[in-house]
Amino acid sequence: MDKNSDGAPLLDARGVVKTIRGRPVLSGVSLEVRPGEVHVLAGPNGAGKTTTMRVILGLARRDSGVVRLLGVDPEGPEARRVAGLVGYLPEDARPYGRLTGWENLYFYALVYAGGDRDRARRLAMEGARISGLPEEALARRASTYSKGMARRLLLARAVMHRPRLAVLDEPTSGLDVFSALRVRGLIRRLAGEGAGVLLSTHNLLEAQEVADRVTFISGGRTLCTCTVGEALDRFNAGNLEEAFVAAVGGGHGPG
Amino acid sequence: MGLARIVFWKEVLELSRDRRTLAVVVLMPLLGMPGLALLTGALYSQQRAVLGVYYEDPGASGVAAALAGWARQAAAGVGVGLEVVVGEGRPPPGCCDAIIYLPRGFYSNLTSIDRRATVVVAKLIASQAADAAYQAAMQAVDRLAGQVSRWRVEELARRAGVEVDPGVILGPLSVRNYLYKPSGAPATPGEAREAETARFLEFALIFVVNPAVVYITDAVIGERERRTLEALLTTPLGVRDVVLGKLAASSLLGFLASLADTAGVLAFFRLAGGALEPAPGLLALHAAVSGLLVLMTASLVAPVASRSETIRSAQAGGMAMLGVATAIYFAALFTDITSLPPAPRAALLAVPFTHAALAIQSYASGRLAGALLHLGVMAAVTLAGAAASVRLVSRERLVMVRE
Repeated sequence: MDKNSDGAPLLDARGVVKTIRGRPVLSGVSLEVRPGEVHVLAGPNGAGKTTTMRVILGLARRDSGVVRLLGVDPEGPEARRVAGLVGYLPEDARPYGRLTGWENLYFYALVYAGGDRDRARRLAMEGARISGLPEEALARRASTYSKGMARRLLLARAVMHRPRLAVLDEPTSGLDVFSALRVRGLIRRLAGEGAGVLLSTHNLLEAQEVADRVTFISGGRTLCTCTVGEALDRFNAGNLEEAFVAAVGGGHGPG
Repeated sequence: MGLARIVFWKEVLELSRDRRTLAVVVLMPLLGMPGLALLTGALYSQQRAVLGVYYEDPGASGVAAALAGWARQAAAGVGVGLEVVVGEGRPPPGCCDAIIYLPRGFYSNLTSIDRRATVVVAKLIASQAADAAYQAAMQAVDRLAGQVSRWRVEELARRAGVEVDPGVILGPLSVRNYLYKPSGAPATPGEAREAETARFLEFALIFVVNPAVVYITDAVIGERERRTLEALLTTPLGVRDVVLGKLAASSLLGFLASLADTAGVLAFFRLAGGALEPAPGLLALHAAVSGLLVLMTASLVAPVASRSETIRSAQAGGMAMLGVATAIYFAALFTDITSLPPAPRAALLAVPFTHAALAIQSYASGRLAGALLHLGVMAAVTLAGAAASVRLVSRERLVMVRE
């Protein structure tokens, strides 16, 4: 990530607070994603990872704090201007079951291409290539896909338009070893091409393999942001999993 | 439409493969009305009833036989399979669905000039077949009364030595009928039949509202629950594009539903085989009202559905609207809304669904301007609903399902 460290952050979130039905879900999340960086958002279940991603994408309104997504406020009127430069894979997303794999890609491609069919076809072909799904599978309805196939299709759909920032919520969830390897390779390739990648994962050993930096959150609050090496040193840990346990359980939590 | 047309394309593609929704949209209106005709017609005529004609007066056996014959003739008109039995003595308990009983002294009273002859007509309660048998019995008794009255007038005239037309004495009033439109202009019997037909067309709108509720609820909340919506809302598509694309798809569905409903109505009238017959103009208006009704229903359900926590609560909201629409279209079978007192009429006019019924009613009674006005109200409500959908739908509501 050194090669991009001088670039302006693609995402800059500071002190984000979010309450849902009177319950504080985020009470001070801060993080920053730079071009060419794979940034892992790590935290236990219910820590606020998914809500953080929704807030930074403008899907949920923050109560306070500042978010700049590609330089604009995701809740502001300029948000649509940068929407085509972001790719998002929600954790529990599904493809359209009644559409074929190809049609799923082509629909999003049409949206990203603003209705230009030729450009959409090229984007969808890129998506098909990224997914690695055989032609026969892409011609089938997505309702017939295994969870792994669906995940590969959705990941391809999220990044086929070469976004400047990819936000991936548990991208390898439900994938077999080979598919997970392929996804990790894709994530590194995206970052290598200058895109920023924000991903959340429960698998911190996997995170260690791909992350440039990691932000630990717990109880809706950022505990720390550092490089993988810094995390290992700071918590005197042999791997990121041990560092995370130390960070969450070692007096760094909110309470 | 902008990017909304891409959503429209996707919706149409999905819809074309959604056999269940298509079946509901096309088959319900197509089979609903003819099904009603078959159920109310064919099943009704399958009923069997027994009418017993009993006499205790030995002299009344001939009259009993005549009554039985007339009741058999009347059975064709009441539509059920009627068996008529004749017996001497009191009717045995539980023998029949309806009874004509001629007690002692009946014949001598009947054949006198100045005494009333008592006839007992009874029927079993809680049976539609018994109602039909009773109708046949009363027709037979009325026929007997008519014949006896005529004979008595002729006998009195003979004794008085005068010549009279018994028909003039028994029916002293000559009643002449004519029909007219709300404008006061005379109406033909054909136009009167068309107005009657319109009431069934208003009722048939029930079958159009249901698919609209089912489709739009599924299109908005179903997509959220199938987890296909969240990523879509981070693309350059705005909520407006998503909502308008779905509403546009529902208009296509409305077009299909209106065709199916019109075909169903035609089939209903063919199967019912009655005097009612929709004219081409009325059918065309019905198709237009049906299509607009689907779009209006979709635009009203969309904001409710999008603010619902779950598909069940969205369906409950949609079903509440469906219930209101059903009540209005069912009531339109029996009620002329324009004849209601101001308060209930104003309350009904405040419900958008009422205007679909009134558009048909106005056209059928020759008030084209009134029909266009009600169609205009529906179009305005549709646009307002679509605008409200775009304004009220929030990304957060659509994404943050209660978990």
